Amino acid sequence: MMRSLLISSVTPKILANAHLYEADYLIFDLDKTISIEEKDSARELLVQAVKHIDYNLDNIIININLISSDYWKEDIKDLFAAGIRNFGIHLEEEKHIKEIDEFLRVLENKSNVEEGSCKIIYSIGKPFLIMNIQNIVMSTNRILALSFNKDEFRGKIKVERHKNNEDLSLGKKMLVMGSALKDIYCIDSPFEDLSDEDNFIKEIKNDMNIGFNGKICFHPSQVRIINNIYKDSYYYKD
Amino acid sequence: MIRSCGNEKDSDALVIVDLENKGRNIEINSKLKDMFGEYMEKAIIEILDEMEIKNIKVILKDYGALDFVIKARTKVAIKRALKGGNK
Repeated sequence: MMRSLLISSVTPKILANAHLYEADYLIFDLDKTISIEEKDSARELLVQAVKHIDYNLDNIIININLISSDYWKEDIKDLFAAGIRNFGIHLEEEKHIKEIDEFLRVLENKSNVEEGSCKIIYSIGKPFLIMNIQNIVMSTNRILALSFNKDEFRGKIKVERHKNNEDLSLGKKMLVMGSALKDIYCIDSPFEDLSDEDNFIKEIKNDMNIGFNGKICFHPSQVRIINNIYKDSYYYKD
Repeated sequence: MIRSCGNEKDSDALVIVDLENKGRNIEINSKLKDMFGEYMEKAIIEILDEMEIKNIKVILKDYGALDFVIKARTKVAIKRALKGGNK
């Protein structure tokens, strides 16, 4: 099940408690929330935490740095050695998929891990990539889930923010189409306004109705709300 | 080469290392030193053994960090010191 995905920042306090909130998956972010000077220390902190805290490693996703940056290979290498198999990647260009697959294949063979055991969640927001979703999904067997990056999508589409998120609907629906090609999850990006619970619930229900299976959130209080709504969804019933 | 890693924040630790030292000196500053001092030292020594560092001075300023935090901060401080030395 991938109903709720809780994003946690990599700080000592949060790392020790993050697994107590009953989220289906935990996402630890090394990308945007970490400054350039602290990339090395955050990565090491995460490696040590994974070794010492009794996380369920199948349900941990590490959001690694952009493929166009200098850090992603080390991110994957160090955390792979610590036992992590799920990685979250913000997809910038389609050609990166091959590069990632090849890098993981070499790594798996070198460490005698079964080929294809590393899975990836791609965060996709560029309209060009969303239109190409069929090629993306069919070109690799490593996709665990597709996640809709609404900020990037909105930035490219250039419309004013709608209250009912009408501006996002086409992108979301196309992503659902993509995830339907294979049996992979389709998940939505976080809802920002913590005080606005009504619209939060509305958004989850709307997502559920068009075929999403889960939602990312960044506050523990949102986890239970998401789990409760998706519990009754057609997808998770059997 | 003197390098550091970590923060002076709650649940975190600041580790300062100096590689120009003879033998191993470990200095621990913590409110909880009486209770957990030996565990903190053990965590640091484990990393020093793992990285095969023989000559080093380590200053740990602990603010209630768990041992995985101390290990991570120590390791990165040493890595930074080793890197800085080559330049």
